[in-house]
Amino acid sequence: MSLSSLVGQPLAKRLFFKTIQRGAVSHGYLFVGPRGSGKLYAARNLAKALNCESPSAEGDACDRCPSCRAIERGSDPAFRVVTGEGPRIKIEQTRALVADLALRPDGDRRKVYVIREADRLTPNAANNLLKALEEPPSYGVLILTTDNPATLPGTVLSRCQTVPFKPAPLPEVAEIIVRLTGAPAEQAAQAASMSGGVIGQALELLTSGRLNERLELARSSLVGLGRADVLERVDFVERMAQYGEDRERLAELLGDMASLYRDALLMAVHPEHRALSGRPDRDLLAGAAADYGVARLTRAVERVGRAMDGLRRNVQPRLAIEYVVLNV
Amino acid sequence: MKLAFKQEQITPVLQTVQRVVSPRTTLPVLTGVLISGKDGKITLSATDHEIAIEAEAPGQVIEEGAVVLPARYLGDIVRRIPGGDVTLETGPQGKSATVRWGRSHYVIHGFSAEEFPTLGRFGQDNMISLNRKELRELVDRTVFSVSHDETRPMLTGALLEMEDGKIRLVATDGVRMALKEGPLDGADGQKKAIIPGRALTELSRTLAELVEENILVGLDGGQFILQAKGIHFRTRTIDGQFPNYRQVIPKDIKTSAILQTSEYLAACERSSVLAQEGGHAIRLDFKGDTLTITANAPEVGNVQEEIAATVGGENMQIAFNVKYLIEGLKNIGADEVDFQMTGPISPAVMKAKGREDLVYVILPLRTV
Repeated sequence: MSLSSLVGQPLAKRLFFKTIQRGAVSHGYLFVGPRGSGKLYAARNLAKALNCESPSAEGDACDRCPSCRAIERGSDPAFRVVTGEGPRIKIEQTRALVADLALRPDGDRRKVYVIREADRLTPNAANNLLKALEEPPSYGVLILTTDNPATLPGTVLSRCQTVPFKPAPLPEVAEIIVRLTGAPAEQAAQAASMSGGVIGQALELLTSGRLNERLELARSSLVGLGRADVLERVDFVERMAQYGEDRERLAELLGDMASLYRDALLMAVHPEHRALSGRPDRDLLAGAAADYGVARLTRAVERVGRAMDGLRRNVQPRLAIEYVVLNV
Repeated sequence: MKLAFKQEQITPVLQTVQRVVSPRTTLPVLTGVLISGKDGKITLSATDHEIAIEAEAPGQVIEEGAVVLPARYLGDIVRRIPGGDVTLETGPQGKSATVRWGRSHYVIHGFSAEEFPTLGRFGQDNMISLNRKELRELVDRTVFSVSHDETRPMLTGALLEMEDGKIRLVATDGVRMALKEGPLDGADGQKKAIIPGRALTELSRTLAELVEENILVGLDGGQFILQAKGIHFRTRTIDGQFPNYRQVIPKDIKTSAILQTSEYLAACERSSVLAQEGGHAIRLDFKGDTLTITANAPEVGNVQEEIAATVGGENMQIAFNVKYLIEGLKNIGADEVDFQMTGPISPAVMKAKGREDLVYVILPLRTV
C-alpha cells in the first residue's frame, strides 16, 4: 500500500508526488470526493510517504520500514484520524486535536491529521480549527475530507488546498475489484457500475451482499412505478423506507434509481447509443421507456435528483422517499 | 518469555510505569504495559504517545521475549498477590501471559509486543547532570501555574531553559506566572523547550520515587528526557513561542512589604471563605506596619483582618483574586515573603525574602 497504488485518481496522485518532491507540502488540504473514493487511503499513504525511512526515488513510501508499518497499523502518533462521535464532530474533538498538534514529533517527522466527513464539524469545532489550519507548526498537516464541500464554512475552505477525488473509469474499478476480491468479472463490472466508479462503495456493495438487494429495489421502482396506482405506490414507499432508514443507504439507492431512469430515458430517445450496447438489462430499460415515455422519464430523473439534493440538506428521509415515489 | 521476580519488588516499578497509561485511548494496545525480558534484564514500559516511561525491574529472565498486558488488570492482580516468588510466562502466541504464585495462577490476555509503538531513542550523548531534589523543586514550585486553556497550547506547559549555569522553569496562565531557577553545571549554549504540564506532574511523582540523587536530563529533537538508575522518562515538548517572561517581571517597585508567610496565608484562606461569593476578590491595604485585608460579600457578610508587615515605600491599596494569592504563598517555600508592588493596577511580585531564585508574578484585580 502506497501512494503509487492509489487507483483512479491520477490528478491527486500527481499533485502528491510533486509536492513531496518539491518538499512543498501544504498545511491544510481538503480532499473532496464521494465516500469510498480513496480519500483516507490517500491521506494515510501521504503520511507514510512523508515519514518513510527509505522512500523511493519519487518520494513514495517503502511500506516496509517501522514507520510505514506503524502508520498502517494505526499505532503511530504521526497519523491520527478524527471521526464524528455521533452525527457531529464536536469541539472537544478538535480541541484534543489542537492540543495534540502542539506536541512536537521526533526529529523531522510530520504529523498528519485527518478529519473525516469535515462537513459534520459543528460551527464551534470548525472555528476552533481555524488557527491550526492557518498556521500550524511546521511539522503539521491537516487533511479534511468531505463529499459535500459546499456545507463547510468559507473560513475553513479558504484555508485549505482542495484536492478533488473523482469517480474512476468503470473498467479500472472493475479490474481492481477482481484483483482485490477475486470476484467474477461480470459481478465486478456490475458493482463498479452501480458504485458510479467509486471503489470503496463498489467493494462494500460486493462484500455486504447489498448489491443485489439495492439493485433489485431500484429496478422494481423502474418497472413497478410505471403503471402503479396510488395504493401500490404507498406500498413501495414502505419498501424503500425499510431499505433506506439510514440516510447514506437511501442516498445510494436514490443514486441507483437516478442512473437507471437516466438510462431508460436514453433508451427512449436514442436506443442505439453506445452506452447501452451490450447491457444485460436492455429489455428492462426498453420496457420502461415504453411505459413512461420521454416526458415522464425526464421528470423522474429530475425528481430523483431533487430528492437526493434534499437529503443532503437534511430533508427527512421519509419525505424524500414519498416525494420520489408519488411523483415519478 | 519466562520471568521470575518477587512480588514486593515488582509492584512499585509496575505502579510507576502504570501511571503513564491513559485509561481512555484510541489505540487499545496503549492501555497495556510492555513487559520484556532481554539480556538478563526485565523492563516495563508504557506510553500514551505524549509521555513514555521505561523502568527496569529486579528479577530473573529465564527465557527472553516480550508481551503487552493490560495495565489495569496486571496492576490490580500483582498488587494483591501475597509477597514472594512469582513467575510470568507468555502464552503460545505471545498475546497472553500466565502469572503463577504459590499454588495459584492467573491468565491475562493482552497484545503481542509488535503492536506496541516503538518508544524511540531514550539515551543520548549530551545529557546534563542534575540533583534530583533540585529538579523536583523546580517542577513543584511552578507547575501549579500552567494554563488549562487548550486554545493556547504553549501555556499548557512550562518553559524549561538551560543556559549560563542556570536551569529555569517558568509557567504562566496569563494571570500569574511562577519562575524558579537553580544552578546548573556543565551546560554550554542555550537550550529551551516547553514541557507539558501533565508530564511535569508525572515527572515530579517519578522523581519523588527515585532513590538516586544524581540524574541526567536532556532536550533533544522535540523531547525532554530524564535518565536515572534503572529508569528512563521521556515526554514530547510543546511547539510554540512562550511569552517573554522577562518582560513580565516588574522592575519599578513602589511598595515592598515583608510578611510572615504562614500568617499571610492563613488570613488569605480565611478571607477566601467570604471572597468566593464575590468573584474571589480581596482588598489589601498596606500602610505603616500593617496589612489590612478586607473582603465583602453583600449577602453573607464581610471580613477585615490586620496582620503585621514591614512596609517600605508608598502606601498601597490593591485587590487580588485570592485563589492566586493562596497558591503563590503555598509554593513560596520560605518563612518570610517579600511582597512587591508597582501600582494598584499593575503586576505585583512575590519572592522568598532575600532570595531571587523564585519569582511569582500576579496581576491585580481592577476594582471600581
